[in-house]
Amino acid sequence: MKSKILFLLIVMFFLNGLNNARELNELAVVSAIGIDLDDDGNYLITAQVLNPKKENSSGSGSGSSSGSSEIVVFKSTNTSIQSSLRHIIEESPQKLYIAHMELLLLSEKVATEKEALDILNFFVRDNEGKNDFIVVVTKNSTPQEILEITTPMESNPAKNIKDTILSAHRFRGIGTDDVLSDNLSMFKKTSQTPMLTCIEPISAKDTLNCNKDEEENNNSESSDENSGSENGENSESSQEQESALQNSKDKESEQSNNAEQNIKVSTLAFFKEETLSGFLLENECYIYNILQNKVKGGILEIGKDKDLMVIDQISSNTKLTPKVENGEYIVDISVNMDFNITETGENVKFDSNEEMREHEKKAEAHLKEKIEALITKSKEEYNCDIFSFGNIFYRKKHKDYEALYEKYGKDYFKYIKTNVDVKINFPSEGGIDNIW
Amino acid sequence: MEENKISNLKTSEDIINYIKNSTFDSKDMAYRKIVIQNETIHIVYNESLSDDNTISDFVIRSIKNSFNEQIFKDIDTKIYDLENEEKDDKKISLEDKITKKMTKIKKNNSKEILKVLDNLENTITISKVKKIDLQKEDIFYYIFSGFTCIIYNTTIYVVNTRADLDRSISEPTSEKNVKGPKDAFNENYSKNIGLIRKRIKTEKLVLDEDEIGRKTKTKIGIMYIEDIARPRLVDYIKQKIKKIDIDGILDSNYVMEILEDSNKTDFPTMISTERPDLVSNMLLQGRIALIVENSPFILVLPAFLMDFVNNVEDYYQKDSNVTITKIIRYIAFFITIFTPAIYVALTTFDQESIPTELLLSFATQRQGVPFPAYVEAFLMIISFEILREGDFRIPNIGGSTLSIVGALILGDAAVNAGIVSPIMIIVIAITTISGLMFNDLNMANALRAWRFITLIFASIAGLVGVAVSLVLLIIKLASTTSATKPYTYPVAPLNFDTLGKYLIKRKNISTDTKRQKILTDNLTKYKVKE
Repeated sequence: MKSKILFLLIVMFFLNGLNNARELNELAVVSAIGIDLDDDGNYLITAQVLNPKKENSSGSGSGSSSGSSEIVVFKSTNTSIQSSLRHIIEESPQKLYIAHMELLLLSEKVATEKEALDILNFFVRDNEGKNDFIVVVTKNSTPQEILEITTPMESNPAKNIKDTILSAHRFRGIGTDDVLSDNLSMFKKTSQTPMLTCIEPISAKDTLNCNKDEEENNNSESSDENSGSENGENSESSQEQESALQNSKDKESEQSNNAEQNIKVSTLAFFKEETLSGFLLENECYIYNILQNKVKGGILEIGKDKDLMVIDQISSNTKLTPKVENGEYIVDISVNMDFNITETGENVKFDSNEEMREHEKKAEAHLKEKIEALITKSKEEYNCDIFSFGNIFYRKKHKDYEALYEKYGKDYFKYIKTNVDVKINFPSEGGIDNIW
Repeated sequence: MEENKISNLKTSEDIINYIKNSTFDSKDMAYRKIVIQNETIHIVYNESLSDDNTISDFVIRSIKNSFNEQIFKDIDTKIYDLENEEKDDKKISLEDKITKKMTKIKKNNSKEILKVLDNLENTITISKVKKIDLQKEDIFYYIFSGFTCIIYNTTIYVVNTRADLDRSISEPTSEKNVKGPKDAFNENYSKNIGLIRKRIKTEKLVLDEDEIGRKTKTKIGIMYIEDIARPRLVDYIKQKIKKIDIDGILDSNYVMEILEDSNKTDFPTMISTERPDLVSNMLLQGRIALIVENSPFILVLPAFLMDFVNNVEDYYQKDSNVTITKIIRYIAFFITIFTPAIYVALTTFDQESIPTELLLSFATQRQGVPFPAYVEAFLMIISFEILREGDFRIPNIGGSTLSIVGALILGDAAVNAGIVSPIMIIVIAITTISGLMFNDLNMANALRAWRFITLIFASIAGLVGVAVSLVLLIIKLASTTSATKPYTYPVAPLNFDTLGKYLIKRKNISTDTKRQKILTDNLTKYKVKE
């Protein structure tokens, strides 16, 4: 008996190449996959593969051979995602290994023309994959372009992008930190509007200018809500128009110096019936995240110049409660936020509790105005239930949801009214106590 | 046949011849005659085992002196008698008296000599003297223990004239410690017992002795504290030792292996230590010590897995700090078994479990290594084991050569030559360093065996294989017993009291008032004096 077991062990030991064991140097570690559509309606797959390279440390034994890798980008076109990925093996010596994927990039085209679940299907079913990568939509660009950009900060560009998205969400409240599994559940929920983060390339030279533009945008918007949103809208549409022209220019510049390129987290893309239907504005993302109770950090600017007050969010708690009153469908929105005061203009004083309360009220009014504006905008302009009020009714007041859906059909969300109640609290004056 | 022969021995010459024949006239046997008053006393001893000076200074001189004393005492009395008798012959010289006396005495010589010999126990300056019966006892046992036999007719006395063939008490060589006592057992049986007795000065410390080995006649001492150790356990071990019938016992490991017959794991189920303080500590817990003659390693049983992970030195350090030491030891226990297996499993099967950066770093380092990871691991483990085994055997003079060859050639050169990846060196290094925390050689070897087993499983089935081997290890450990006690106590028969006191934490001595129930019924350990 013992000898049999021993024999079995020895045999298994020498035959263990038969099962799915793979050595590390036989893996092509994919860091990101981009999906686009070509003109024939075929998938155009771009795979960014990390290339571990051993530095020549012939002289001293203590060579710094830490995983400094450069990327290799493979492209392939075929009728399905799987077959396109498999066709890459014709170019690559190793099979692509997608378990370490950080990013999945969808082009605007593929997100608009194909149903998102059909695309994500492959990544869920493939037993190799993990569900913790971020799905993003590439705005004003194609996945190929973005994946070819090597970032100066980190050797793994996809990881860099992922980190950028996460920190943008963490500290500015834009984008989402949802991973694939979250996205899937969003797509599967009834009357839920899924959101995906958008990224766009900017050239490093433009970074400064871009930031300036943003700030200007923010300022103008905070001072004058309506005009601001219009401006944003205008800029967006104009950008879209120009994008074709810019793309061709960008390509030239990219090819000349890829290293000068950078990636920027821009907005959120919302999906209607599993296809891309529009983009939020950048400053609307924060409001959206507040209402979804997903916000972790962000700043608000209130007033202008001498009345300027910049506040930094500490915590946020939002409750959405559906109710039906007199045949009207209402969602009570109660937002409860704590802020630190970080920057003030000349006229802003916090000498007494009353003044403090005044400023809090000012901030509350400002935020409430913004929330209500975005809700109105979603009904009139985006034509989409971006806050997923329908889902709230579906979950909490199922019968009313059915009645609502029967009554108004697909445009039910336009008839849902909202009561916005904002409470903002400044726990301190921002650390300055009686210095003057 | 032999007994018949022994019963036929009528004279001392017969006995001498018998000894000569039985030893095939071995050249280190010494035979001496002492002739007193025409009566011959034979002295037999083994030159290599006995101390010549002791024999000549104490044995022979003592016999002669006491004999002379006896004679003169007799002469005095007899002279007095003579004087009374022969009052008429007043002018007889003293010399004549003596010669007269001698002639009278000669008749009673044999009786006188026996008297002298009987008195020897009182007069001789050597502590251990014994009269033996040739029919019942084995004279050769005494001769080859270094005793000197004094043979007169059929009367045999044995006198301890053992030469000092043992080294003196030195520091422990295999169990180093920083604090605490630093004496160690050596090959001398009685010194070993003394080292324990010196620590536990009570009449309750019992030494029960047995002699095992048809040829070696090795003494085995069973030591326990009578009012702490469980009598049933003592009896159990005594019975087992009585049953041993073997030609020779050369080290305590012989005894260990025979008593451990039910142990099918690779893990040792007896503590084998050269530290008297550890043995005393164990005896006070109610365990039993086996002292084997000529072995510097004393066995203690029953022993639990916990005892091999813990160290008696824990008691010589501050209790709260020992907790961290213990945790580190347990971590090291698992590291030394599982690290190579987990590395192989992760890198060849479950790459998705490695963080991306680490995966890239691993992949970079594995560039150009021609072998699969498990072959690499086996190569490195085996070459390290060769190094270790060589290190044990090499004389101290050559030690530095080995370390240079080991460190430079195996480490650096193998990496530069592309045979193994640098990460594998790290893995094997952390594995073996962790293994060095366990100073019991049997334990270290058991860990090594399981390192191979887990590695084989990991190279077949990845992390699943590692899990399977872990389950096997647990099954093996949990089904082991040490002297009828469960080996994995206090984890497997769960005992929260002991668990809290000894497993992770060492309880402060002043609050640790109770002994372990599994070992003893006498639980009172520490009493607070008012």
